[in-house]
Amino acid sequence: MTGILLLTIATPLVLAVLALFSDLRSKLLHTLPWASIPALILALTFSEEALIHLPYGLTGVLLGVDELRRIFLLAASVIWTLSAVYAIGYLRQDTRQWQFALCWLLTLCGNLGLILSFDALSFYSFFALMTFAGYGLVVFSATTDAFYAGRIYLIMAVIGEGLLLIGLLAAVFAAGVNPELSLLPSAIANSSAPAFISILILFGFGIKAGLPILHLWLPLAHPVAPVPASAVLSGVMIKAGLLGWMLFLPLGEISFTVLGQVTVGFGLLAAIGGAILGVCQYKAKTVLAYSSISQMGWMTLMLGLVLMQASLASVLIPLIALFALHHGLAKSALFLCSPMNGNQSWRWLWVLLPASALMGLPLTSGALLKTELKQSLHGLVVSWPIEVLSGLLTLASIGTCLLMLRYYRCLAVQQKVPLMHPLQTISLMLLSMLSVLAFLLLPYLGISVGKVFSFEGGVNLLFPLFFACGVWLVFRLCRLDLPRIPPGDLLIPMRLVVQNTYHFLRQLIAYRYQQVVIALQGWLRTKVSDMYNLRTPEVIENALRRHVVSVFLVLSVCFVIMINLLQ
Amino acid sequence: MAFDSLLPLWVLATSLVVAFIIFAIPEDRWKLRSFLNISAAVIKLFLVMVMTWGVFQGVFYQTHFEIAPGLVFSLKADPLSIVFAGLSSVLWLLTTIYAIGYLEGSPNRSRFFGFFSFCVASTLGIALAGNLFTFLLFYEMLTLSAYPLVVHRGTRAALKAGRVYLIYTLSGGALLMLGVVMLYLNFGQMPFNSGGHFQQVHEAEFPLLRLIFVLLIAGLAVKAALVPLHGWLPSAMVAPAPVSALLHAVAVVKAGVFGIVRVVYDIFGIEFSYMLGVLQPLGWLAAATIVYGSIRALYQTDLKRRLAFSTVSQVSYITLGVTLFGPLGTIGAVVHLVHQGIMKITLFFCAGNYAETLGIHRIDELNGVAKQMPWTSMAFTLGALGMIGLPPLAGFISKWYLGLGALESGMHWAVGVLVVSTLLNAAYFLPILHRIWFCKPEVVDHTRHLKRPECSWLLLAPPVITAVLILLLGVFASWPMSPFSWATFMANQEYGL
Amino acid sequence: MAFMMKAMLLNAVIVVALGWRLLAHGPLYWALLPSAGIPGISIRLDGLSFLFIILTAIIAVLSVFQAGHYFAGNQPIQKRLWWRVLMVLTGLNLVWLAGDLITLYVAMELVAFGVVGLIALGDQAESYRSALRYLNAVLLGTLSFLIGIILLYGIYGTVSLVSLEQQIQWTRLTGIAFALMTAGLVYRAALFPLHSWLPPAHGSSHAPLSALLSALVTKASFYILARLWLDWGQVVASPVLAQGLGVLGCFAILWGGWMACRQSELKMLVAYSSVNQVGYFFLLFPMIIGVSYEVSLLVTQGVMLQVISHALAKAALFMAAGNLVLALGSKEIQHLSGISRLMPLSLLSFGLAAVSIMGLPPSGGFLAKWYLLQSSLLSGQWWWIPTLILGGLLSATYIFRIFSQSFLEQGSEAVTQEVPKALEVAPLLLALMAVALGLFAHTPLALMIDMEVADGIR
Repeated sequence: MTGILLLTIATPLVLAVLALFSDLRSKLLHTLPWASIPALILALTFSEEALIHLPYGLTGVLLGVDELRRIFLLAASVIWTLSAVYAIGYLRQDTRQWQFALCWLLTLCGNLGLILSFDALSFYSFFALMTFAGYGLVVFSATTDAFYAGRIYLIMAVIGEGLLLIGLLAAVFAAGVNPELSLLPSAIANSSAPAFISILILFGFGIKAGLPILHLWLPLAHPVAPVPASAVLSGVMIKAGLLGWMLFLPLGEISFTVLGQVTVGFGLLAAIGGAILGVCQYKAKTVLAYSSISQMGWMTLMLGLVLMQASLASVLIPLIALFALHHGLAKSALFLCSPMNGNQSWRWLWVLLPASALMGLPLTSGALLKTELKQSLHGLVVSWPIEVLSGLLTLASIGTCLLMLRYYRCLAVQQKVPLMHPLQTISLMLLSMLSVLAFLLLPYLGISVGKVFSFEGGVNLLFPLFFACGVWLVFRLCRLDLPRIPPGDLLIPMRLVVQNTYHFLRQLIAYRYQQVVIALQGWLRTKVSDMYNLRTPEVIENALRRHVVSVFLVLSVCFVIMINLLQ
Repeated sequence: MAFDSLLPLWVLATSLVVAFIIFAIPEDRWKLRSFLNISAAVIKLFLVMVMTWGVFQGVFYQTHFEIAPGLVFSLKADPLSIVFAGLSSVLWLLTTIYAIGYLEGSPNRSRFFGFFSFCVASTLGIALAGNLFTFLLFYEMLTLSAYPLVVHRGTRAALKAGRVYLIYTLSGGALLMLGVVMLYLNFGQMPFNSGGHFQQVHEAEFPLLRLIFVLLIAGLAVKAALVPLHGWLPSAMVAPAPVSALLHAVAVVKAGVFGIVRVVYDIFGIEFSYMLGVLQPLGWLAAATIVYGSIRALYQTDLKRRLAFSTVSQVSYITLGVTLFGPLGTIGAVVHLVHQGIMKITLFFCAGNYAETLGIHRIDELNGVAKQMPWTSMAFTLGALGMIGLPPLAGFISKWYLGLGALESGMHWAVGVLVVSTLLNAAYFLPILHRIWFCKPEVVDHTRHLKRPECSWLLLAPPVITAVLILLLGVFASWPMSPFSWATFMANQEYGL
Repeated sequence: MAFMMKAMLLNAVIVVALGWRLLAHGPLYWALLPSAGIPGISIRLDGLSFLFIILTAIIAVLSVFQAGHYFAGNQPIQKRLWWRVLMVLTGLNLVWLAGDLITLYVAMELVAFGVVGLIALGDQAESYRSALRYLNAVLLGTLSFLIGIILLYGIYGTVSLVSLEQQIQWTRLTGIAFALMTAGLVYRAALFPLHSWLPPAHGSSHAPLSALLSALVTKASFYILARLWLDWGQVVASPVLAQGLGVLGCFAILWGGWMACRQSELKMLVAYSSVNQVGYFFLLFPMIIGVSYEVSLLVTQGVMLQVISHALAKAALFMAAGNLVLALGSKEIQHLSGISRLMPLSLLSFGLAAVSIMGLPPSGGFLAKWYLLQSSLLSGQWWWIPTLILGGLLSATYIFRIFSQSFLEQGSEAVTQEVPKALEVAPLLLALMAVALGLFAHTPLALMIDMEVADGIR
């Protein structure tokens, strides 16, 4: 087990090192699928918890795998592998293949590593590796849009790193400088400011997870990346934030009434707001990006519930993990579908499968998860009616359906699309099928998922889709146009505010400051040169020379007087 | 036994003697000179390694003799001096190799390498100084021997920078000397002694001690480039790249900071300094410097100037760490002493390579240079990311411990300073990296494109080695002989753990 | 020259013998005409005077060597040169050894006339003017000194330094005599504001001779003054006069430094640097009067170190400067551009010597400053500290003017002449000694302290 564990992390790194040799670079792209194979094997053959300790690494590195991580690893390895296969086809004619492959491998390493980390520092390290190598994937197309998106991505990522740093420092310090992950939640719970640390961690990882307000980069970055990169960005990497939350936050240790409610609110906001904003998008991939925000909202909501009430942890945490798996598979399949248009009729099946999973149609993983979520709400003890929450969740489901319709529509009207390579088609097919079949296969891997083939509340499950279709029809029939909301929504006003404040401050402070400094320097310089150019010293010197005898006499007299003083 | 006690002297002698020989070597005998330089560096490195091993085993190296009544010249090796001596001997070797490549064919090389060796001898003297007097001796020697290096190019701008450098450092040296004299006069000989000398000082002496502390720190702060005494550092940028590298990473700036570390830990003692109430103000000053340096760096358009302001900021991390009362802060400070050196030297090597190979000085000329100089760019990237403090690079380890130290000492605001600085560092380094890797070059020089390797290996090897070190020191921070482990060892001694 | 070198060798042998004598038997006092009351010739040898004898021997041999090579092709000057040098050296050694005032007076005159001759050797009209100006200073100063001697002899009936030390007490007349002697010596030592004769005299004479003059001759007057003050000062001198001398010293430090910064000629700069450095010597006086033994010990050590290291360093500076001037064919500082490539060794000597002048470690100048700082702190006379610090910075300013210029690569089309390698030896040796004094000052200082003549007169 330990061998394959190390191999999981080492394989992408070793392959990345190959990029140093220019002869091997051209073949690098073709190795990508193999890079995540050890991870896949590890995820599939997992039988019991394993842990290895590398004492020389950082301040003692712990790597391992357990039940929770296994689900994340499974999602990650499947999606990375299939997207890599897709990438070979997608980038077959690109001259900069190896650069893409390099970024891909490093990002992959970060992603797998963070899943397998059992201590805070290696988690943080792999997280940073993933974030910054991911930048290369985002800006790979090197267009103005990509650079702009990349810039926002970086700014937000760095802010997130900063917030995380404080949070992690506080958490690790609370645990007595021991960065072992398993100790952190209880240490945070017992520290003097658990809520403060939790907030920092929430926001720090929230940037990656697309928490509302912190999501600004997401609708920009996910669409501009090459398709396979978008798939992993939206399918897997976004979950790193979620995993961070689950590992660091004191879930099940302590209940934060207010913080929990706020998080639930954020989740709902993301789930519904993301859908609303997404429907107003005109590009297929942007719609998907907003859909990711919306789906992450669901997970945030569940996490908020656990924060609010620690007793829910045992039920909801496995559910969140499964939700992540479900969303990852479906979303990446949808992303892989994005270079299609109305002419490719037979391939629509591959869009339908993941979409239906996402919408939670009966017999899919989505249905299962949503039903279980609603059931678990009954265990909630709150002062407000649970029906409200339930209703809002239905609203979010309608939003998801609308987004899928919108995505379908955007695809249909897409203009030129490149021809799909067989490898692309194969990986796309596999992923699509997996997105519906995964939950059927999971029990064979020893993961219990509950009853999948259940028609309980079948009509209820179909209701959001019907409602969404109704809304869609109304819009079509009345020829209503959707408002255009630029991707990145809040970013535009925020940018204006920030830029103007900056210019104002700069003019106010920097300009004045420079003026003062320049004036001071000038004054000093003139004073010094004045002193230097002054002829007075030479005049004095000459006078002393001419009148040296008198000076001597005066001085002698002075000495004689002085020696008589104070005797 | 004699070998043990003379070892510090041997370490010093390797570069001092070489300095004199090099002065005497005719300008055109560059092979002989390079051979001498490199072999001296290697021998020195070897001796320092022997010494490191010895100190690790608990051997006590000391040499001392009386210069004049009441004034003892003393060299000794304790864990802290090993940290600095190790750093400077490793980086000296690399910088020598780099400088040989960099100055190939340029005039005045005898003079350059002579003073270069002098400079390193002084730095090692500072590292191995056993008391404050000896420290002062080498500190001023360093001031002088660095001057010819700063003005090496002999242009008017270089001379102006040299003048600014001298005004600052000599004034600082005078203050330092006054402080040392006052200390000697009132409290006697001051051998560096972990835990300090003032455990049993009467309260009536506190004001005097505070004055002395201020004088000493003011003198050292000039070299450590604490705001508002940092003015010389950015202007000293006109020096050739290896000099900037040495100045920023090992020699001058580090000497100041090392002095602060010595004064706080080994003269006053960290606990006493804390009691004296001088650590907090120093910490604020360091924090102000960190933020100020970073902000100024943002506005620089010249690559080396940006790096210089970055040094102003980064070096104050060490000072900040010193003021954090607790072993974790100490570890952070001492580790950053080494890590910052290695990271900054990488950046300057790379900046030198860009300037030397492609004639690039301004940041907006860096578009797409990674295509033409991938290795240099990779080294630069590692250095810059390390500076930002991204895990798992070297810079992160030190930042992490500084942060923990801040929490431990209850100076929570320091964590905020670290984070703000991280953000600012990212703000001025990441755009450069973006340019290097992702922007399209405006004019592609195809003749260069095909050249392999991108520049002389003398110029390429040092940055690549240090870049790999940045990675290794971070990833394998807990390796028993790593700077981090040494710092832990040292902190445990200082706090008697 | 060969003859001169032999003479110097003989001198060295004698010095060694004297040293052996001193170490073996302690200080020595020897009167030629021991009968009391009659002014006679007497000799006193103790640690301090022995130090100066060694110093003289070293500098003499090196400047003779330097002068020999400097004037190698110039027989007419050589003919006139050597006997003047010998006269000066004789006078100097007599000054260090003199045990009574009359001998001192004679020795001073001997030095003075030799020096006037040496200054006048310069071939320009300026040299004659300087020589005359120097003569003026010497005559007036010595006259004043002589009046003092006569007064003292009138009061105490003896001129022997040792007996005067025992007998002397405060009377108004003694005070006047002491003040006059001080004034005369101050004039000859070129303390501000009576320094005006020094820069032209030193600046315009030939470099090896300037070295000799600035290294030793000014020190002679100061040596006498210091001796008198150390012996009698506690009884006779007033703190006011002492402080006054200190203040003048401060002015000298600042004024000399400031003027040195403004010179355009290399050798004039070095000459003004002497004015600046002489100022430090005079900080001795305020800190030996009315203070504890500890302070006066510290300050004596400091000032004597300053004197010795200045002698070594200044000689090196003048010789190196002379070499640079010789190579460039120009005295101007602004023509120095690029010289660092042509005359690295001379510039190195200049630099090493300058380290001592600036009071930076490791050098005798640094230790001297250290002791001066310590003694001014210990005596509570903190007001000297700003001047000490500022003086160091000022000297750095004028020194680095030269280095700045010499490192300048632009416009370095200086036409240079070949300078014999032999000329570069002496300055390097002297500069190295000035630096080494900063590391090995223990022996000379111990010699000075342990071998005080007061310990026992034989």
